[in-house]
Amino acid sequence: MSSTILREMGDAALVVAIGRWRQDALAEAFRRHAGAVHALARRVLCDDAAAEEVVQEIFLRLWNSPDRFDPDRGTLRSFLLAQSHGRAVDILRSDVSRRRREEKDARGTAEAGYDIEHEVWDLAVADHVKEAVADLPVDERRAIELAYFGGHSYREVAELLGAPEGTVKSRIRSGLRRMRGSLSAAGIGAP
Amino acid sequence: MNLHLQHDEIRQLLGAFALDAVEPDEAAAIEAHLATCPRCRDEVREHREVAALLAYAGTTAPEGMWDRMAAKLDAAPPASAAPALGLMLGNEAGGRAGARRRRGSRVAAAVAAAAVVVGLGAGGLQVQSALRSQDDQIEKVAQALSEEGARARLVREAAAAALADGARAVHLITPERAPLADAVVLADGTGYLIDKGAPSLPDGRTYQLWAVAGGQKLSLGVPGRDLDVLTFRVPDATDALALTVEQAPGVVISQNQAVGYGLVQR
Repeated sequence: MSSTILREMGDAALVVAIGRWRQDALAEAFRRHAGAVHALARRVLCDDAAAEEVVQEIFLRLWNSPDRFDPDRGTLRSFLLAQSHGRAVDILRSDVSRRRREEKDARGTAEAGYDIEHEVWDLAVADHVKEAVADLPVDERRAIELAYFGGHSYREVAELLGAPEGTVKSRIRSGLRRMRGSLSAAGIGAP
Repeated sequence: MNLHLQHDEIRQLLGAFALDAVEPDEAAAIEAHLATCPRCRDEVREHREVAALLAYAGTTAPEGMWDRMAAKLDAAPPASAAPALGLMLGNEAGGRAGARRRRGSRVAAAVAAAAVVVGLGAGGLQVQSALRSQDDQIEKVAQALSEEGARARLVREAAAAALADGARAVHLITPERAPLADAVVLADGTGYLIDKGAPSLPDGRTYQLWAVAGGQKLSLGVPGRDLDVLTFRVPDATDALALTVEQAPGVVISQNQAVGYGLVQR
């Protein structure tokens, strides 16, 4: 299988090749998605070295257990990002990085709403994502940002924002739904 | 600790869950619920896709990151590579561990489609070196095929078939256990056979493919002197595929022993 064929392969076929211990298939998946995985981990952890460890862990996990990816349950990118996010949040919630996190909170909450807009990627789609973010009610946007990029649980978000837990839960959910709505109206989003 | 949540409570938490923003006991309760609720599963998938759009900053990983990671792959080949190798070597050699992996990932189906040759080396066959020689083989196969569009299309079709739900891999091996051909059989009975090192036959002889069902052999096709790639259709109750060598242009009932044989897994 030449590298040209690998490049043309869909993500699902790529994962099958990875299942056969094809290192070049893993390299191709890495080429496609490691940038995003790394950026997310770094965004959550505020630490380059820790972010790289997360990237390695996520791709080694894909290498060792490719069958954990189920194409029926979403795209490979969203799978890898969800894994990366989960791992980064685990690290964040461990004692080791508590101090770093507290420092980050001091900065982060002051600028809530700033980061999402500046973290979206720089392609045509970015405009639509920015628009969708900008259209969010500010409460929903803050709740999503603190949870996703800040790695906070909804209870912590509630405390940070001085809002009831139930309210924060529904803000996160309705904000995500609202974004999906406006993104699919713009023709963006996985099938 | 078992947290019990009502369906509605779970639904309220799905957004936070998708962002890893729930407590561990809630996450466990939600995961258990997702296993049985397609609607909630879909919602989580959608939330994660939106999150993935938010997350995407930067285009490529920083310089050198892949190399550092690839170094780790070489240093520590996965412990579970052995069953995967078993898969390549055929039905029996795969063993239980192989079967588990096969069910989990549909990997075996791809094995059939990729037309890979891995020799049954005596003694300690090194997993990594086997994989490398196998990669070389794949490269050669792909190059040969790219010269012939129609054939390549059939191979692609076979590869796609290998990914389908319920696809079953069949490894046809000689009585000496050398690989001869690989096949993939879909749930609807459509099958693809790909040469895996079967020798060219002399003029006037042909390979013939058979379905073995309930002790009967039914002809599936006559590939010719070379096995190459072919598509066929098997009856429901097919237990195995067999290859014989016959006088061209093939026979209705074969009197010959199979030169290759592979079980169709149920």
